Amino acid sequence: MDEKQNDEQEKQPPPARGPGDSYRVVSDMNLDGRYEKSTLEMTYSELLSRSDGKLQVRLLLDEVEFVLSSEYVGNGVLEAQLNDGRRMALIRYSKTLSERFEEAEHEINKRLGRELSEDEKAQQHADGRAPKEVKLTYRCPNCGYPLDHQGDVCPKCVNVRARMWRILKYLVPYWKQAAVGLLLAFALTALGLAPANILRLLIDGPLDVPTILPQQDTSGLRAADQAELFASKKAYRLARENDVNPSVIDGSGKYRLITKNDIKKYLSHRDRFATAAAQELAYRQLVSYKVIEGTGPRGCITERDVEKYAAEVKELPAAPAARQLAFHLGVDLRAVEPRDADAQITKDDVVEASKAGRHRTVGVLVLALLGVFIVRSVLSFARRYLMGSLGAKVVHDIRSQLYRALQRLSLSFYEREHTGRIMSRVTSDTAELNSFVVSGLPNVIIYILTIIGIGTVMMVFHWKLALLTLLATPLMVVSTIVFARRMRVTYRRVKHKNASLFNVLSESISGVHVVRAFGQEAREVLAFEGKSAEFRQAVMGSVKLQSIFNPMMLLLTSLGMFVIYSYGGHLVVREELKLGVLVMFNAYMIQFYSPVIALAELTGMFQSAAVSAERVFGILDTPSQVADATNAKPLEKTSGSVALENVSFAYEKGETILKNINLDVKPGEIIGLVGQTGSGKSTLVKLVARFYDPTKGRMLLDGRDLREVRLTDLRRHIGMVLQDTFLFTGTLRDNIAYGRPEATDEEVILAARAANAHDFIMDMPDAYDTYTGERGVGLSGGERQRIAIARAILKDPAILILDEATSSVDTATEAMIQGALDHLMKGRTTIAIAHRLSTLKNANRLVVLDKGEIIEMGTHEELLAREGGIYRNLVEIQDLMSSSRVKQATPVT
Amino acid sequence: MGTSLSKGLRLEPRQYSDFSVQTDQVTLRRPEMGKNMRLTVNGKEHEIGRIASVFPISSAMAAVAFFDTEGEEIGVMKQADSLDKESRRVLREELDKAYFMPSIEAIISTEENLAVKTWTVKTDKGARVFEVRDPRRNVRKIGGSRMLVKDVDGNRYEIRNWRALDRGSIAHLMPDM
Repeated sequence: MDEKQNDEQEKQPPPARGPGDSYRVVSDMNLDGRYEKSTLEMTYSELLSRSDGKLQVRLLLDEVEFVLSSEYVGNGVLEAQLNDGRRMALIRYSKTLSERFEEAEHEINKRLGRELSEDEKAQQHADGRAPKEVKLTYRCPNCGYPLDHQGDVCPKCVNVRARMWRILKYLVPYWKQAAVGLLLAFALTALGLAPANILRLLIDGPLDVPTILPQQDTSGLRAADQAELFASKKAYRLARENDVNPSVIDGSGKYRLITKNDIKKYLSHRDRFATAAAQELAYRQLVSYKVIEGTGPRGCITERDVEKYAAEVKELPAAPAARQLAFHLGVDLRAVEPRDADAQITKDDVVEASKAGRHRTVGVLVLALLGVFIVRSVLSFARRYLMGSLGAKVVHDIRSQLYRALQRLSLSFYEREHTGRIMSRVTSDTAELNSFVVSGLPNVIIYILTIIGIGTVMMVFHWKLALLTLLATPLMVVSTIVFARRMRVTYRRVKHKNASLFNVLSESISGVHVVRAFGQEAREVLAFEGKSAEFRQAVMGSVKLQSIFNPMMLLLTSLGMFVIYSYGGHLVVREELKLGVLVMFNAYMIQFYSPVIALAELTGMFQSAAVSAERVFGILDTPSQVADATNAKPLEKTSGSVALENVSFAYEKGETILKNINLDVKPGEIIGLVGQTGSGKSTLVKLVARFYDPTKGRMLLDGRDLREVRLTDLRRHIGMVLQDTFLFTGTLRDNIAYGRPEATDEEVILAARAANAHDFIMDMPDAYDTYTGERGVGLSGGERQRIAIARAILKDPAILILDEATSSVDTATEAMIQGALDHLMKGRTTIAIAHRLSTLKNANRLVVLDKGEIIEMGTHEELLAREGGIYRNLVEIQDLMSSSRVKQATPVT
Repeated sequence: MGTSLSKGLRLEPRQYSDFSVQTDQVTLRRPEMGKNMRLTVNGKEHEIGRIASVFPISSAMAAVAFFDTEGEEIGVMKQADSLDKESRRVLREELDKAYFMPSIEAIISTEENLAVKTWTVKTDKGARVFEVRDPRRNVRKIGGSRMLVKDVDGNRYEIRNWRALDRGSIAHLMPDM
């Protein structure tokens, strides 16, 4: 829409004022509050507001003092403050364009040469302030899709393919495992296709008993009469073309005439014979191709083979009917045992022999089927195990990389992202990737292979039938997708209504006192019934859909079956297709549909995996903002002199917190930072520790820019005792020695003594081995503070940063902590955010900050003496508040 | 007048409460374009900095609060629609600016894209396209047949009577109700 255009326009640097350089901004509302495209244009002499082409407002720039954007409920307005004191609305805009008009205000004022500061803006708004609204929408800079929070991955813009490749790269070190997995996939697919085929072999093999008709003797017919033997001209032609002697063939058509199919069947065995003559001889001699081992090329049966067999068989005592039957059934007469030892081989004997053979074949095939299932299970297990371990390894790699990245990232990253969100990157996003590698991806491979496999096999057997069967596929896929979407919507509704219902229920239970006290039982019942009815409605919706869905799917599957059996059935009747093939097709059809449907949902899976990957890679790729410069020098010792030179600082896209700070701290000096919340104390301290780099100016240590010092060294010389004492899961000893794990036990105890912590630790049953943290003992605020102090004492840094806790503790603990702090601060350069009166009194110098600037500086007494001084004011307020506290804390004797 | 922490913790009743003043004694005028409104109560004139509707969602005109140019509240006016015609006009003009909430007359189409639904609607202020996320929170029923829709940017729209919408619109609305 217009947004992109305008964004491009506004990104260009503002040109110098002159004729022809105008600034334009487009809005979606007009002054009357209607959705119409409006424009505000600033030429070198005028401000023009147009709506739908018509001019609404026209002001000369000379009349205008400045412009101001104000936010109201549901819209905003850009007004011009005129020199004569009036304020005119120039243009209105919906909340969607808030950011655009904030920039427009800034831009227009810049051109007017009258930029407003934050304070001035606040003042102007005092009378027109709008109620606080929700934060600005963060939109993807690429496609405009509204994101959850700033910096989130845009699911639309995710480059799925690129992410996929990157994920696959993690597989590279385990390529052997992956290759085996792939092989297993192929094997499993082949095994998956086997059962249907075995079924076919069963039906077309041992279970297929051909109809046998008594043989005719047509050898006496002359060539001319032979044409009459054929059922159709085509059959005759086919026989002639292929050198087939009709006298050896039994016709299956009307009046026993030879049909085209008969010829085809005859010809289908021709490749078993070396020559056409050999086949003819075999037929004449009633020698089935099934019983001879051919000696010709590629095992073909030659005339000699036929003659040899015929000679052998001639000797056997067998009735002619038996011989004929043996030929048709493909039974080797030599192997048939006559029932009566000395009698002839009868028809029944031949039938028995054939049955035995067929029993055997059935047995073999069934065993083969069993074997297929067993091997499939084994391979499936192997594959699952393999992919599982592969996935675990890959995810482990990613997770460690991620954790390392997290450790190296600067604090600004942590400020930007919530702890919860960071944690979900490491846990749930990596889990998503894991399931993708373990099941998502391998399954996709199998689906694709299955589809290709089934498609190929079907095409090979009968391409026409195959195409027809597969034709029903797109219909199935589309209907499944449509239904799936509808189902998702209804399920979501059911879930919501359920949640609402549950809400009402839990509220009325937890608020039972209020309900009873105000006698609102009847109302609550009504509300509950209302929600329950809504829930029921939603459930009915999903039930309706489901009751349509399953039968519909069944119907569609039956459609496929209908196609197969109608066309395929015809083919079987016409003997163009064997029954076994038809059954196989049916089985394959069913097997075919599930992977197809699964693949239809494919894009969703790939996309969500890509989104997870993007989030993870996003962190891995974020450069650390506070990093060692290439020329960072080591710092062995430091005297502890810290200086701020013209330092200013602002967080990303925010207000300037510190403005032009100049401070010189001499070694061993104790500086107290004082000021109201938001005055910049914590920020200053973070800059000293180099958690951030100043936006302007320099931070110096011993005269050297902090940026030139190696971070590890810098951190070694700085110790911190912060407000919120964070104790890691571990023993107290571990916590105290966190900065110096190699410290001796004696050092740890000494540090704890100095911090007035030793006594309470010794009061605990486990003393220094007491477990703290997640599954450990909880310590009181005062105790934690002292552990933190001990930690800092043990580290023995040249510079100490102290952020005093504002929480009140009893006087005894207070004294303890004070003593500990005295020990800590002795002889150390200390920068303390001070709250305690004692600290303030002890400090060599107090620095008073207000709105990011140093307002006052001096000792406690000096500042207290100043009339109307900010420090004095603050102390007075504190006294007021703490005096009431002191009264509380005084023990009753 | 009003509450003021700076002058010590004193709480005084409003100078003009709705119990004592009849609306025929109250007029609201905007004497000059671009300048603030003037509220005249019992002959006393106040310059108005801003106004705020006390029940903006349930009943905008039922009670309106008036603030002076310092941001101090002057008082709350009850039943603003019983004012004279000109006052009503001025008030409505100001409220329309401060609370822009078009009324959806028809939902032409909705398109769901991942977690966000794009609505194309016709309102009494013109045609509009907007995106809604998390309908459970942002598409609400208020009162019997009224609904409030909030889009991703914070714009608000109301549906005065969803039952009175055409069938197509109701169908689009159903999944989020």
